[in-house]
Amino acid sequence: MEQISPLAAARGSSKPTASGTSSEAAGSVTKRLSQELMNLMMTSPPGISAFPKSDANLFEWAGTIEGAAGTIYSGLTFKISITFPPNYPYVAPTIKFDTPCYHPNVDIAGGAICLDILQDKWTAVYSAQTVLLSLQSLLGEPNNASPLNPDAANLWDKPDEYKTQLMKHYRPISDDA
Amino acid sequence: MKVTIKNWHAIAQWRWDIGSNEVDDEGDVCGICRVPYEGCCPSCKMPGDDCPLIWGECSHVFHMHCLLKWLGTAASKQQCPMDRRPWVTAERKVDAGQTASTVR
Amino acid sequence: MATPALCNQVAEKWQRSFAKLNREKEGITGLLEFTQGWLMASDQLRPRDKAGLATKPQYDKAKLRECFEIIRACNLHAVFLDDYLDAIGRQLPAITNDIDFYMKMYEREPTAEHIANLISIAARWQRAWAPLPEMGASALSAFTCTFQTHLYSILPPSFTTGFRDLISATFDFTSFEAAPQWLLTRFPCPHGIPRPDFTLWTIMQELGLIERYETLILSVCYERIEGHVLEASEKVWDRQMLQEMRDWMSREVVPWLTMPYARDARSAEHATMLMKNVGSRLDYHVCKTLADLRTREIFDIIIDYPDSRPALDDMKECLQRVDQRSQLVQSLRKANRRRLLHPGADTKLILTQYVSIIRCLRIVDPQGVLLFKVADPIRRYLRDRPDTIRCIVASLVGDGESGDSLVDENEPIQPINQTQLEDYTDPNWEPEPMDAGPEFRANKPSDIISTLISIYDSQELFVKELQILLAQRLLAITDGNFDRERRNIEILKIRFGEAALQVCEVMLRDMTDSRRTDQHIQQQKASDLHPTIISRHFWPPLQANTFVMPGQFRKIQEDYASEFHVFKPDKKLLWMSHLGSINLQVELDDRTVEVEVPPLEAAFIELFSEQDEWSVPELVEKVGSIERPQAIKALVTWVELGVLKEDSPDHYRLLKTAEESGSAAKSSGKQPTAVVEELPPVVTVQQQQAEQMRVFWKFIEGMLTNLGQLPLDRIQQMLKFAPNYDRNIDQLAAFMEAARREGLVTVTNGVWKLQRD
Repeated sequence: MEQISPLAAARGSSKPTASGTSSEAAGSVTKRLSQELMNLMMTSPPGISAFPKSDANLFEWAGTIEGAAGTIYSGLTFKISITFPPNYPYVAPTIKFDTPCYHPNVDIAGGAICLDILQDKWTAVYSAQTVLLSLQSLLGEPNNASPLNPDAANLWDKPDEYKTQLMKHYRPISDDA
Repeated sequence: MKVTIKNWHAIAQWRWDIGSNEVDDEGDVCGICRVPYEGCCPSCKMPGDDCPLIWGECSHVFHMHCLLKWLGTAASKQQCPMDRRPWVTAERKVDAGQTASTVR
Repeated sequence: MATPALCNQVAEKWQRSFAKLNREKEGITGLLEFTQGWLMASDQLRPRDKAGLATKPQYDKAKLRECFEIIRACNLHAVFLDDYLDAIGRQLPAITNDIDFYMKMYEREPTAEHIANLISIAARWQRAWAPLPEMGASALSAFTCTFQTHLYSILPPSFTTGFRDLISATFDFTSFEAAPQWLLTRFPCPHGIPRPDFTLWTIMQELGLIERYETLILSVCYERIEGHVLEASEKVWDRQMLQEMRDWMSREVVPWLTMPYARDARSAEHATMLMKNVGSRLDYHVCKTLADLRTREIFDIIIDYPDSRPALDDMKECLQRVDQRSQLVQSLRKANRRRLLHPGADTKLILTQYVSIIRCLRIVDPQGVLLFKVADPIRRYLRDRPDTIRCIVASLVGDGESGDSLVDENEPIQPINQTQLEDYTDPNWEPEPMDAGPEFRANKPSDIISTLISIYDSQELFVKELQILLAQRLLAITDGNFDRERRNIEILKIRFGEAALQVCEVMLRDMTDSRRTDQHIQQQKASDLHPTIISRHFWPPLQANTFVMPGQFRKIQEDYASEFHVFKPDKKLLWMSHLGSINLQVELDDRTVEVEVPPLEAAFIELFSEQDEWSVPELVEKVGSIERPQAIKALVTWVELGVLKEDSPDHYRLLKTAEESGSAAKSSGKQPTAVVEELPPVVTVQQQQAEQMRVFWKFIEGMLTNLGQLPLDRIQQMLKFAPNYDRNIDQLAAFMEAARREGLVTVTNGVWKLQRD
């Protein structure tokens, strides 16, 4: 049976106490997130991955994005943080870069990302996977029209200099998470 | 030789008449809650008439509760979450003579 | 040559002695008196042999008293006594002959009589040689001690055996009628004495035999008790034997024991007081014997429960007196190992016996410590059996076919997760028993079902089995009556909680809705088809690929589905043609067969109504979506009913007129085939495990990718996001080690990380 009791889903997460959320719905978000996690693990799309940071809270994930081959980010690995709101998927998750990322649409200091599907273009049919994939393609295809990092936006057409800047800021991931 | 039926106790599954004739459409889930259409949305306990589907003119189908909840958010801008077209609920034609209900 | 000094010394000494003996009498009269007195007394007391005894002179008592006074006055009392006692030792051979005589007689013919005679003779010797009361009490006790010491030194070892026989024999001397002749003649009792062995015991006491052989007497007593308890109580469990044994004790044993212990009691109270100590030891022995017996029998007592309830009540009482708790535990554990926990025992049987053990041990030990120690091996064994959960679940809902369910309906039903905290305000609170283990209070579910369910760590397995079982039952219902299942679910909701059983609620709602829908449709267009319409995601997985019903069946389905679509325009029906059952009437040329069959059989017979002969491949193709074995099975049904016949391999023909066929017709068709799809047996346990490990590995890879390096216990914690994760940390460690050998991960100081290429 697919529609198994909330028991199975309710393991391993605390219910956030946001207003307007019935405990039923909170249980369903948990269930949804468990499903997404399972999906992500089993399909393992290349270059992207994510996992909850702690066994006590299913709403905070750590993610990993590898720059796509053929892009200037190729070979680099970026860590991100994903926070799911209590009324997910009706409201978008918030994502930021933990690894410093020199990119036109990324705030180099705080890691904030300007991606349309994370803001006004978000719909309830999106998932963590779609967001991660979008983020990965954003790396290779920035939107220079609305930059959070104007310098990067200007430098985009000069790959060598761009790469220098990129590497200057980039700090590879140590394994101490 | 003649075979007469006295009583037939059968088992059948009910399915939403989405329009697909697939027998084993395991992949068909509501895009918003990721639960199969014949299941119920996260805020319901019973599937079926208590948790019906809603069809859009864009031909996208969701659990009614899921979609209404989506449309209730400001972020939705009253658009279909699949294609971002303004949402219009489709008229379902009830054709009494339709026999598309039998599935091979 | 004596020196003058020496002479003086000797003279002094002589003078002193003389003075002592003469006692300041005139001249040497004192000395003469003394001498006479000494001689007379010695002669009186001198131990004589038989001949001597016969010719012993009788001295005047007053005169003897005088003699003793003189001796005492001379302070030679002690010396006199020593002389006397030595004389006894020298005279012993006189006794030896007698003793040998009787012992020889005993050796030839080992009866108690000879020993009794020996005792009688020895007593007579003792009396004959005893000092006079005038000599004083200390003289008497010194004599007794010396005499008896000598006596025991000449008694041979075989005397002990003989004495034992004698004691054992006295047990039966309960009345004068029952007493043997020799007892009555040789040991006559005074008037008014209740038992004929009274005198015998008195004599034995005189000889100090009772004190010396007390242990032996008691051991004879214990033997008798054991013999009787075993004889009367072995395998007798339907009434309480302890009180019967105690009654027997007071009737048969206690009167006998008053002989050695309370013979000279002045009153009943006095007797009771004298007997108290030994009485308590006897009662202990009775309890111990009964406890030992029941301990040996415990396994069969439990099988016999509840008929054997009295034996358990006995056991409880015995254990309060006798600390045999650990023996009971050992005995039961051993019996369980040998007779219960082995491959030949049915899981249902083990469960039933376990439940009986729970009930029985709770009677014997309400606090549950014994049960706790015995249950563990059973629970471990049951956990390993694949069908345990199914059995428990079936009994949860009361399996009508197999008689009693494991559930005692009178026990209070409680939610399973209720933890039992100590209630110190409870006036009946007691501390844990001394032999309780450390985990005792923490694991104490109160009723039997909770105990069974707690064999497994998670309830989810149970809930899942429950759902499957419920589905099977509901789909088999043809008369629309599912009240019993409804009731079961209500009860189970209390145990497992509403959320867990939501799926069952939906199943039951489907049943109700099906009936309502069918009623409506029947009014629109009457049909013989009455389907149960299910919500697919809330029932166990059922095969979706179904074959097509031919001919009239198809038409009926299509008509019904049409009506359904009118009734519920949003919905349509998907027939599960391989499920359900059809009540058919087959009219042939010379007979009519009425039978209830599964749909495939009906499909086939419909095809045979279109055409008399079919081959198996043709049938399979016509109907579609079935395997050859299924087709054969369906055809065989009709063959057994005498409707079809296999003319040649794979070719079947309709028997329009009856023909003799080998097997007799079965009256009604088979029950609908098992509805719920199980995992095909082709998938082995190893394959399942391998598949699971693949999933778990994905999760481990995911967490290590995103969270960096992790120690083992964190990995174990995070793996609870993986569905159905049930490994313990040791198994995980082994798995990580294997992954390390494959080069997938590395470990430093217990911290794991992914191997990056």
